[in-house]
Amino acid sequence: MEKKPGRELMQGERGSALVVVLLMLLLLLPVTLILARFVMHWQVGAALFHRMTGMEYAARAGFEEAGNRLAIEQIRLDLNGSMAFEARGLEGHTARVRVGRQPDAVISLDGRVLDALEAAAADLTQVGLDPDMRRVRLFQKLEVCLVEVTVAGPGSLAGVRLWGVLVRDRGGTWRRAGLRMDRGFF
Amino acid sequence: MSLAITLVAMGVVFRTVQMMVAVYERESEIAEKSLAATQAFDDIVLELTRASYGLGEGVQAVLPYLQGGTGSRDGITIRSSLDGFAASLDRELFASEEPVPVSEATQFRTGDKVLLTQVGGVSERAEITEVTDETVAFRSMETADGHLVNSYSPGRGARAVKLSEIGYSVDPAPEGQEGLLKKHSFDRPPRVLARNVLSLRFEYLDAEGRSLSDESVERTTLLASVRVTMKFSIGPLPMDERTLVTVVAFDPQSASVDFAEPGYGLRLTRYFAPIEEPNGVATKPFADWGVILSSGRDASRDRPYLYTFMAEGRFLDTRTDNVTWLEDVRAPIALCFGPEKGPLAGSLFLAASGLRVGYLARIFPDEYGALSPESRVEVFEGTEALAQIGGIAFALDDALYITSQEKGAIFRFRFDEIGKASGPEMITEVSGSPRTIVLGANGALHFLLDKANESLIWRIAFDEANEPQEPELVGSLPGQAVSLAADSFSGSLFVLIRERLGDTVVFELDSRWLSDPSIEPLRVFSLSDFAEETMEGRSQDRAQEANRAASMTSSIRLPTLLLPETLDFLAFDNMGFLYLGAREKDLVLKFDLDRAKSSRHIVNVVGAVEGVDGNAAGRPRVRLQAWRRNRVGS
Repeated sequence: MEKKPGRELMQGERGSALVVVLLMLLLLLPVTLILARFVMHWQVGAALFHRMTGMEYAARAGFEEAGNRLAIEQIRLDLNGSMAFEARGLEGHTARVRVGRQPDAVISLDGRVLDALEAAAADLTQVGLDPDMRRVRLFQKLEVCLVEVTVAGPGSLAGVRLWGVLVRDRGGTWRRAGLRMDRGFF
Repeated sequence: MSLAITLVAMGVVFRTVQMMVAVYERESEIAEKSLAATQAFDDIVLELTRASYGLGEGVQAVLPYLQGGTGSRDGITIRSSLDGFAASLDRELFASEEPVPVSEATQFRTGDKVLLTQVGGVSERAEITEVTDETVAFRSMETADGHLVNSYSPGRGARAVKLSEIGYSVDPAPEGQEGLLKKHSFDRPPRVLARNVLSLRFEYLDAEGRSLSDESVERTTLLASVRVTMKFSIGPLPMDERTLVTVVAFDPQSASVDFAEPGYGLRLTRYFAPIEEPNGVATKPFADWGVILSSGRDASRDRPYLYTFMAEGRFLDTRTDNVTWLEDVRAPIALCFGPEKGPLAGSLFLAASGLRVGYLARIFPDEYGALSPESRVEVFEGTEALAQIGGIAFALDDALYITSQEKGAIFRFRFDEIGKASGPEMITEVSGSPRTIVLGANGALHFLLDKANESLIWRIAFDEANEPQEPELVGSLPGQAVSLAADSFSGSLFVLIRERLGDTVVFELDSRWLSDPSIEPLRVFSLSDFAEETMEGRSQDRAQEANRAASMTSSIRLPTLLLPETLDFLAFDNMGFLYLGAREKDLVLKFDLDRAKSSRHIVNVVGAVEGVDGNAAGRPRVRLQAWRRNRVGS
């Protein structure tokens, strides 16, 4: 059997080499992880914007869902009544939606929102004629709903809150009368 | 040896850690810069989505420059009304500092910035200088001395809306190397949102994604979206340049509420008077003229005549009408043109009817294809079968169908290839008095039957061999049946009925009603409404207005002396004009039907949410404002 010279001498070196390798691994592993995160950071602008728009899409989707549910009368609210539901958007964002019925409004043909006294006195069935003999209503009552949609941001990222106003005319069609979005922590 | 390896390895590790720390610091800076830039970009996007919120349509909500800035394309101004505080002006506003009554004046405070606006896209920024319980005074922010650029009228839907204006611009940083993205608003000094911004560009797009010039952006109706491009730097190297791009489409920020009831507008465009005992109107297919049949004052003795007029002609048309006397015909009560294909083309058929004997007459076209005194007249032999004719019409089989009120039956005359008539041949008997008969858009004949003060609509369909089938009842309407006509434009039938309460009305019987008569038919015309309109002179006002505009298509006013108390027939010409005849007044009225859905009575409604910005107590609530889209009276 061939003798392997210096075998006993290499024994200690082996131990220290193992320690060195372990030490290097211990030191380089976090470095590798941090560098891996940097790869994410290189795209941080686009990634953040992507998340932000994702939340806005989720808020809009929640608002559209509320409009659809009102249109098919899945949501029917009494005066000052409200109801809430959750809508799941893209990328796992969850929109919390609250639909609240506001006091009805009466508007006149000349473009005024009547105050409560005027509205109570207005004859909603009154019809007049225009110069082309077209029959025209003089007043219309609008059903008004306020939709609030909240999407919480992931981690420290600010979330989105959307306010939407929907009105329903005498034909039963819901129409959007205003929409705003805010960003913050809600 | 092993010590050397260990030292080298430790050196490598040390150097790696050192580089890692450097990279960490740099990447942290990159992350911060990227985050700041991204959040700034998102801020712009969010403000753009609010453009016009609380202001509604028709207001210039996006200015392609920074208000008060250099006017470069690197800036933008976005308008909204976050509070939704708005008031309509109750009086004309001509001058600055002049108190003007407004609705809900107390919602404003002195110093508030508002947008004065009215229909037609006219608007300007103003500051409130004085507020009382009922009035507000304004000072323009568009002029140095505060004078208003425009005048504002309640008739044009003038209103003042509390204004929020947000602007963005990129300014050079003090050190001259980096760009500062700044956010501007009325009530705060500019705020720096991000550094290292190289450029901020806005591209304005229409609904089809085409780029608009800055001047076009002023016309808010064209602007549908904005493409925002922001370039920023995260380091000194060219490769450190980053770009964010997005397109923001504008949301509708107001609802349109239509006050017009479904139906047609009817504009009186002409009246024919005196036409003694008018009995009907007919137009030859594809011709631009029509004829009114007059039976003469004394139907049994006077000569009847055809009054030929230009169907397109309006009241002020210079072309003259003419009259063709009919020497050999007496007491005609119905008319129709022969089918265009075949030997009967261009001929007018008249049905004349006594109590016992009725007969047909054919008026041939003259050498120019028109009806004139040179036209040959052929009178068919009279027959008792045609006593008290109710109406005549050609069907798809090119035969002439005739209703006899006295016999309670439908007869048919057939024509051979040289146009020689044979008949009458009874097709069917009905229970009641059949009146007007017309060819419907579906190829079936429809006739009107008056029975016990009820108007019945019957149909005679044709089989594949063009043979008439048994009549079937389509539906009924309360009131005395008077006349029926087919409108080739809409494909609908229109029926004239005398109601029990005395009014004479026209209903449209569209294809939906013809298949399901339980649907409420559309009431198109009411004689009492027309009389009221005429008596009040609103038509005259409109005519005067139209005349001022030198319009040849102006409405006219019917003299009140000619106002009929009842009507006896209705007809359509091939251009879609509606004719209503009144025998007692020797009158035929011609109406232009406004078939397009009216957009004249639209009221815009804007809803804004109050109580979400921390400046109002209580639960969020909706504030509504409304204004007419069109000028009052237009």
